[in-house]
Amino acid sequence: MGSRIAASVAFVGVLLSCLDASRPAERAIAAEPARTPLEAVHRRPVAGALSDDGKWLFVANQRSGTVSVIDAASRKVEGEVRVGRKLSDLAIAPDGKRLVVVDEEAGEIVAFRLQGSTMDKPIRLAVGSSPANVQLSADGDRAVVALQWPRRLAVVDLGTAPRVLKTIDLTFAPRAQLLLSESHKVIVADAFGGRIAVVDVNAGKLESDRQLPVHNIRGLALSTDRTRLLVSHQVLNSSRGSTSRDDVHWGNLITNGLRELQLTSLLDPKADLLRRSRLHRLGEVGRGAGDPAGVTTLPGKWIVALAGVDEVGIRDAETGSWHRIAVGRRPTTAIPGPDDRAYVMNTLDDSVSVLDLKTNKVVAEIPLGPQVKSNVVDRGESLFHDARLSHDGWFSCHSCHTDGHSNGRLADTLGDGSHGTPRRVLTLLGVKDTGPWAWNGGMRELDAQVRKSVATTMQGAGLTTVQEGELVAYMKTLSPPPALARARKTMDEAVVRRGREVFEGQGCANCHVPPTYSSSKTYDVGSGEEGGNQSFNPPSLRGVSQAGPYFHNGRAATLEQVVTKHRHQLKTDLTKENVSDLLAFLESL
Amino acid sequence: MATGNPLCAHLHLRTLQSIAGGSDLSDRLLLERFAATRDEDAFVTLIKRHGALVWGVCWRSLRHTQDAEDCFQATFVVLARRAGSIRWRESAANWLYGVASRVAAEAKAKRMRLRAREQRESVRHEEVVVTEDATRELCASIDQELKNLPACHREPLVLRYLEGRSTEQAARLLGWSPRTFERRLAQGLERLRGRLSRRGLSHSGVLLAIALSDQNTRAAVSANLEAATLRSALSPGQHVSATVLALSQTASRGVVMTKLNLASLAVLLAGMTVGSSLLFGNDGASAGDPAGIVVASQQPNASEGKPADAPEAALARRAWAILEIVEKNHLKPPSREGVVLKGIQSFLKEAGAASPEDLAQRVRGVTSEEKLHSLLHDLWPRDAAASKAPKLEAALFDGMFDGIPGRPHLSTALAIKIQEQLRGNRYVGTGVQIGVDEKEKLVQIQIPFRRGPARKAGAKPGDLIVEVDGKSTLGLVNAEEMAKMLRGPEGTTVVIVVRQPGETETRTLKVVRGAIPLDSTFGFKRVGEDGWDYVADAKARIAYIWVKSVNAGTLHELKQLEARLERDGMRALVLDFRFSRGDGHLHDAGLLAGGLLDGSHLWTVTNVRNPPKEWRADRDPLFRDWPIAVLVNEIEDNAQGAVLAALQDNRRAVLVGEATKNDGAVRQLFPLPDQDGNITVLTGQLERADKSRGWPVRPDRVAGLTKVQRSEVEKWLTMKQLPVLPSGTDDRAPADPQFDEAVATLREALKKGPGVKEGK
Repeated sequence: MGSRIAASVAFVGVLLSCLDASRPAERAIAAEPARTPLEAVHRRPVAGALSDDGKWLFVANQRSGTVSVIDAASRKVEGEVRVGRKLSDLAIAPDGKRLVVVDEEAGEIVAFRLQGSTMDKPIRLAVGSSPANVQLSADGDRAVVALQWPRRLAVVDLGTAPRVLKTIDLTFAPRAQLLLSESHKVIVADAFGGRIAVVDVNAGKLESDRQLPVHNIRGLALSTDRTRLLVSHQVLNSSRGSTSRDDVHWGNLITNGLRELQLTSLLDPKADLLRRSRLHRLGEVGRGAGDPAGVTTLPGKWIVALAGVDEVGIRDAETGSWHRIAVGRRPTTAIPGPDDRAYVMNTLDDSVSVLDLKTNKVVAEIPLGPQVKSNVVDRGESLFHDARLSHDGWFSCHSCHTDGHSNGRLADTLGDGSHGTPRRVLTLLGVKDTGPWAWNGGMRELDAQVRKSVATTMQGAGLTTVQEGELVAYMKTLSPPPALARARKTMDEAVVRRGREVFEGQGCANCHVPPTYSSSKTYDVGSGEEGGNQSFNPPSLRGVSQAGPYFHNGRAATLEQVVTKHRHQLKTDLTKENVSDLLAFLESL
Repeated sequence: MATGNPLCAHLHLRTLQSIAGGSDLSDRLLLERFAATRDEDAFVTLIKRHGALVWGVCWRSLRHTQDAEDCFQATFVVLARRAGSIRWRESAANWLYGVASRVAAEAKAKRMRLRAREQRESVRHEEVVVTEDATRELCASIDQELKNLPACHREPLVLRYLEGRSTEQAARLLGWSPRTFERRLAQGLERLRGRLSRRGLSHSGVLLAIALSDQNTRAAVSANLEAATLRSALSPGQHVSATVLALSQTASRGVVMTKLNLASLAVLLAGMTVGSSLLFGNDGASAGDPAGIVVASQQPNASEGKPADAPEAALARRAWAILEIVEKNHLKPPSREGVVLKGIQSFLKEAGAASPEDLAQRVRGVTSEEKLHSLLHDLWPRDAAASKAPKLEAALFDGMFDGIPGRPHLSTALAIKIQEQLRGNRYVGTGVQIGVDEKEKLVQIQIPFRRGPARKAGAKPGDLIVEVDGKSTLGLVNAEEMAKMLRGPEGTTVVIVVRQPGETETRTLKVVRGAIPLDSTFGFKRVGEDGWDYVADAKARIAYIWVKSVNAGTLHELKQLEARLERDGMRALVLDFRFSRGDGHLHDAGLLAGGLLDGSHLWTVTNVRNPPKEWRADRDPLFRDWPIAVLVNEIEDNAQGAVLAALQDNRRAVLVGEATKNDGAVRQLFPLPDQDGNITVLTGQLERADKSRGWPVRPDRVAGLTKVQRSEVEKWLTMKQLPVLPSGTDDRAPADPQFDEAVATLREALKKGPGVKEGK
């Protein structure tokens, strides 16, 4: 068995290099044969799928850009294929004959023909920047790819002449998806906030785009009777909860939840999404369940990964009770297998836990390769996603600064002594250049802000100086999100140039000073709030097109509203052309 | 004054440290030593030994930190003064108890007189921010009845339950045989029980809440207060405040008792075995809490290290700060001139001086702190002793507050902290009720509390504690000592080895000290030891929840219940808010109302500083689609009132019963600059979501109770809070027409309501 996979993997490597040469348009593929022994690298498993009646488990490793192939019976890694630069997802078609891997960094998907454990005949296709998720049709010939920063879906034909058939623009950055093959509709959820859309894939039409009062949607699954959609998410109780010790303690600030939505309501664009919905609250006082991630349904059972607390939750449908099982670090998803087994991707441990669903116990942990010593940034990344930094494990940094960005919600963090004046969660992407920090610009040092957030917002035990340094080191690696126009490749340089003139002519650059489009002072821009705070530090405009809603209280839903409705600090009236030029400029930042 | 006195600084430091010397001596020896040599250590030991007792008496009676502090000091001043003139028993606890009671009674009477005057002069608004403790009357009653018992019955009760002494120890202290002690103890208990039951209190031992007031007791005797007391006691003429002095003079003859752990008595009165003692393995909440009480008038400006101000300068600064807070934040700020005038008039009256003819004109000229200072300077009685300053200050504030609608009040940071802890429902400990098993000569866990750390660790009722943190506790028959061993800060672990009586097999429990959640909701019937049955009508599938109070954890409790009641097939709900008492925070009310409503407008808070603020619910209502009936009666608390109004205005629930008594006033706390204190000021008004409605909240369906029914219902509800029912009682629901009406309302709603079809 072992030799067979090695051979097939080697074969793939050879084949890929040929392909590389013969199709220069579909650039660079860094596939290499698996090494024996396996290379010592960070892998970061983020997705997986079973093939061949559960004999083989394929795991997509984000950091190493490889796919690990695991023999489910022997629980050993049989091979590893380098597929791309940074992988975000992996899917196997229902017929088991096609495996598709998503390369987030290259903006490509790679489709393989699958036979047993053999991945061959790779087809590499550029789909657009930052693909985050792929769904395959029942016949495996069609893929729907969620493109995060371009805020769109790409529908791909994987048949004889692989190509992108169409793209469908969304109003939000998508991540989790669920394809309903029978109706050719895909349900797509916000990567950061709470929007949820339904798209008709065949017609290429956005049927509905609605808001759930939630954020950080990480998992979508259908109930086994296919009448309900399960959504794992968090709720930041913006209007009523605060970050006081009491509210954090009693779960009044953050709800970690699994929501049942009626599929009929979801598919009816006019229906109230929450009608007959149910919210299952995960975790309890004293034992929060921060950052629920991937969710899986089985007859009589639901499994949800509790990424922030290194556990999975298993709900027994009959009793409605939850069991929680400790697994490896940052479990992001669980894959159900035959014989009451489930495989959990322990993203930060570079391992897969095997669960026995009959006994609700971990029966094995499969390391994906030799462990590598973590450096300061790795440890910071780990802390960033650790809900145990907060009191009782209700939430992590990532909960609100989802993937380092912002969940777009308001939080009453009592950060600068005010109460009852919730502020929009700021993005941390590009944070190293955007000091001073906090809305009132009160924090000159990033580590001071981090220390304060952990102590007063998360109500945790606090960080050691070393941990503080690690978190800051990690945060400093986060770069600003790409501008929407750049991500969509729709930028018109001439228009942007005109927009820049408007920007400068209106004096915007006085406070939003290039190159960070921020400055270190605070200004009273007439957006003052009830608590008495009148002056705010101008947030950086880099990636501003990805950052809505706007202002400290989120009262402008779009950039256009900032300019037209709120006339934010405009010196003169703007013509329609001025406005659209200015917006084009902002969307290029 | 304190700043310049090296002796005081020295004493202060020393009281902060634990003083071991002399702590083994009896009170009599310590007092004799103090009388003969003015030995400070001896007196410090006495303060430490009996501080909690005296503070408890003062606090329970007054519920006002400043007043309680004054009485606390006065009591020890009397002790110091009479140290050489009384033939002391081995324990002075009895005597201190009596003196403290009298001093506190005097202070209370004085305050009542003051309050009566206030009520005549201004409309009183109900508090949103801070309300009274539900157990206050009970505590006061127990104290009072204890005091009325003859000494031969009171003394054993005090020594056993309040000081946690063993029979041998107590008998020795009293000079009795152990058998006599036991007999009189039993008789005393019986008599006390009888007296309380005549007051209608026999079963309302609100156990956990009382224990909390016991915790207040512990938390409140700060090192600073001890130091101040010591100063007062040692040299009354020099350091004591006038109030303390006045109070100490009202207490003359010595009498009574000791350190009463009210909680243990409450348990006994609720029918527990004679000879047990109740304690909480607690203290974590106050551990490491340095928030001391500074008797501000004694240390003006000490923190800044400047030479002590003239008292009028400090007073002007405080008064001006108050004026500014009121002007900026008060809902209907009165004219500064009027407030100052009233204050000065009261001040002059206290000073015994006549009003200058041009007073009104001079007050008009007070436009800054400096000008107020100079006015006070001019009016300050030249011959006044420094000790007069606090009285003058009190009089000035008193007068000022008379002139401010909704009368503000002052409270210390510590008082606020205690309130917050209660409200936050984060009481820390191991969560056990312990007592002494005389037969086994071991301390026994009588009740491991619901959801408490000990129970989580596997403690069972009846467990005998044989070892704590590796130390054998064989022969330790002092529950108080055991409680000390169990106490510790939150998050720390105590390892307890236990065994069941009559068995040899031991179990090791690792108890992580933590919050003991105190329920704010209760079910319909008790099930087993600590469970509830919430079903009020099995056929119609109607559940029942009594919302005893609204605090930070209430919403969470309902979330837990929702899942359970759904599983049990319930589909409608009676929420009983009768006799519900708030901890009074609008924030908590917002959480609760917001958790029951779906995105609706809850209410609007108007105040002068900000534009009206609309409070809205989030989108995840509990009990979605269930018909709800709310039982309501004369709730005074605005937090509860607001929840009820929001439910009614959004047609989320049908309100059944009687009108509330709340008025929708909103108060806020403001810290006073450069001192340990806060002022509570009327800042706003709640406007209901349905603008056509006002306060109080009136029921949709009026239903009343007869006097007898009312008292039975109150008793039934109150008893829900007992961890176990007293023997010979049950918790069968009494005749309750309001409840019947609520159930009838729900049955109707279930017949036609849309929620029903959508149910499970």
